[in-house]
Amino acid sequence: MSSIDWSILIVTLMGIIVYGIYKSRTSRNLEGYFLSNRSMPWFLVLLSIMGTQASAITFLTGPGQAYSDGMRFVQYYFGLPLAMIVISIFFVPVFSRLKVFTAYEFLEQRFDLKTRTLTSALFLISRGLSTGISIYAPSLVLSSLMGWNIYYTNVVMGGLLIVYTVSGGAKAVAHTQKLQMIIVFISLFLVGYIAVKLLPAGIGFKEAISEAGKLGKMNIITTGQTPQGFDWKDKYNIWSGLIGGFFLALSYFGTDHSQVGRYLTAKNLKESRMGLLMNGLVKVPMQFFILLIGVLIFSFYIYHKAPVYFDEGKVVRAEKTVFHDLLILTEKKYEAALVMNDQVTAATNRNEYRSILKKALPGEDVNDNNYIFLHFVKDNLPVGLIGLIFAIIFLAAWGSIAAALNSLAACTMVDFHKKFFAKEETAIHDYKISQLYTLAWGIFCIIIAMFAQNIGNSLIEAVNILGSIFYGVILGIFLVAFWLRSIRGNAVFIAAIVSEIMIIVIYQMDIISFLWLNVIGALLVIILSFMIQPFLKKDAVQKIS
Amino acid sequence: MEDTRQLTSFSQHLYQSEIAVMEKKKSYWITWYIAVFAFLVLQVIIFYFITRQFL
Repeated sequence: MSSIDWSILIVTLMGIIVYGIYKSRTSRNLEGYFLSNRSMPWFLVLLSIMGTQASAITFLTGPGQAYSDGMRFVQYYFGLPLAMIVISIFFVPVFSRLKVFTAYEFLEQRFDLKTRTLTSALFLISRGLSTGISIYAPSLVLSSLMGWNIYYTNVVMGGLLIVYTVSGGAKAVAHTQKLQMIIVFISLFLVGYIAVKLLPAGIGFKEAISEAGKLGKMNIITTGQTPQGFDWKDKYNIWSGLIGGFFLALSYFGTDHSQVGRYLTAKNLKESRMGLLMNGLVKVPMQFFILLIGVLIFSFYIYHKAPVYFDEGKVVRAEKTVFHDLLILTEKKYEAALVMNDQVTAATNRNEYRSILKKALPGEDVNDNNYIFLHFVKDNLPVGLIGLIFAIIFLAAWGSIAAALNSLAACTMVDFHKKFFAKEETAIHDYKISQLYTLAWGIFCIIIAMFAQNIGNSLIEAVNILGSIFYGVILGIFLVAFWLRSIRGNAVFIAAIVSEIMIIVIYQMDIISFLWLNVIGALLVIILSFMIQPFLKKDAVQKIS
Repeated sequence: MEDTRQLTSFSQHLYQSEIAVMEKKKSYWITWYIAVFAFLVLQVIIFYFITRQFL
C-alpha cells in the first residue's frame, strides 16, 4: 500500500477511537454503562443492530460468495424480516415491560435461576468463542494478502476497540457504530461505481449484469430441488432461507444478548420496535447490494485477467512443495482458456487448481472467496480508496466485536457477578467491575483469535456452525417461556440439556446443513418440555406470564 | 347521587378514550408489520423474475 493509503487507514481508525472516547461520557452505573440509560432514538438502534450483525466477515464473504456461487446467498436473509415482526410483537414488549438488563434475566422471572444461568452460560460460551474467531478471520485474510504479521493484525483487529468499549460502554459502542456504518456504506458504493467504470468502453452496468447472468451469477432464487428430491444439505435456497433463516434470525435478534442489548438501549418500546422493523426493511436490499458488488467484480474479471487463485500467500507456500510443477501447468491451462474466452473451461481449471492446493497444503481451507474482494481492491482501486476500504474491514470488525464485548460483560456482571458474588455494592463499584469484565473479555477473545489457526477448516463456517449449535436450543427456551405457559422451570431445563446433546450428535453425524440445526434445536426443546412436564411435580408457581 | 353518576360517566369516558388510543396504536403497528411483510414478498417476486430472465 502507498503512504497515502496507510495515512488514510491510520487516520480513519484513530478518528473512530477518538470519537468513541469523546462519546464515552455516561452515567457511572450499570444502566448507564450497559444500556446507555435507555436513551437511544430508533435510527441509532437501527445502525447499532446493523453494525453488530455486519462484521468484517460479511464484507469479505459477501462479494466473494457472489463471485463464486452467484447471488443466491441473499436468500439466507429472507427469514430476517419475518423474525423482526415476531420479535416486535412478542419479545420486545416483555423485555421493555420488565426493564431487564439482559435477555436471560427474563428467564429467571418466568422459570427459575438455574434456567437463566444455563442460558446465559450457553450464550457466553458461544459468543465468546465466535467473537475470537471473528477477530481472527479478517486478520487472516489481511495478513495473507498484505504479508502482515497475523499476531499484530489480531491485536489491531480486536484490541484497539477495547479502548472506547471499556471507557464508554453501550453509548460509545452505538455512536461509533453509527459512524462506522456511514463510512462502510459510502465506501462500498464507491467500489461498486468504480467496478462499473473500470469495465471496457461500451460495457455498462446493464451489460455487466447480463454477462454475469449468462454465466449463472444471477441465480437469486433457487429451490434446492434436485432430480432426487429436495437437497437437505443445500445451504442456500428459498426454503432454508425462509424457514432456517427465520429461526436463526429469531434466535439471534431475540435471544442473543449482543443484539438484545442494542435495542434495550432504546428510549422506549416504540423506538426499539421501529429500529427492529427498519432493520427488517433494509437488510435484504443491503445484502443484495453487497452481493451485487461481487457480481460486478466477476464481470470486471471477464474482461480483465483474473488470477487463478486469489490468496497469494497460499500460492507462494504451495509452490514451494512438490506440487510446484503441477500448479504452474494448471495455471497455464487456465490462462489459455481465458485467452480463448472459454469461461467454462477456465472455471474447471480454477477448481482443479484448488484441488491441487488442497493436496499441497493439507488441513488448510483452500476456499479463496474471502480474498476476492480485497484482491480486486488492492490491484484496481485508486490510491487513497484502497486505504479507506482496508479501514472499513477494521471498522466493520470493530462494530460487531465492540457490541459482543459489551454484551459478554453485561451477562457476566448481571447474570453471574451480581447474582452469585456481590449482590450489594455501590453503583460506582459495579461500574468499575463492569469495565474490568469488558477488558477481560477483550483479552480472552484476542487469545482465542491467536489460537484460532488450529481450527483448520473455513473460519466463517466455524462461526456460523458454532452459532447454530447453540442458538436453536436458546431460542427453544425463550419460545417455551413466551408461548407455553403450562411448562415450568425443571421441564425446560432438562429439555434444554438433552436437546443440546442431541444437536451436537446430529451435527457430528453430518446429515443436514447447519442452518436447519436452529429449527431442530428449538423444536426439540419445545417437544421435550411437553413430554417431560407431566412427569415432574409442579414447580413453584410461575411468577410472570 | 348526581356526583357518583357524573364520576362513573367520566371514568367510562376515560376508559373508552384509553381503549381508543390503544386501538390506534395497535393499528399503527399492524400497518408496519404488513409493510415489512409486503416489502419482503415484493422483493422475492422481483428476484424471481430477475432469476427467470437469466435461466
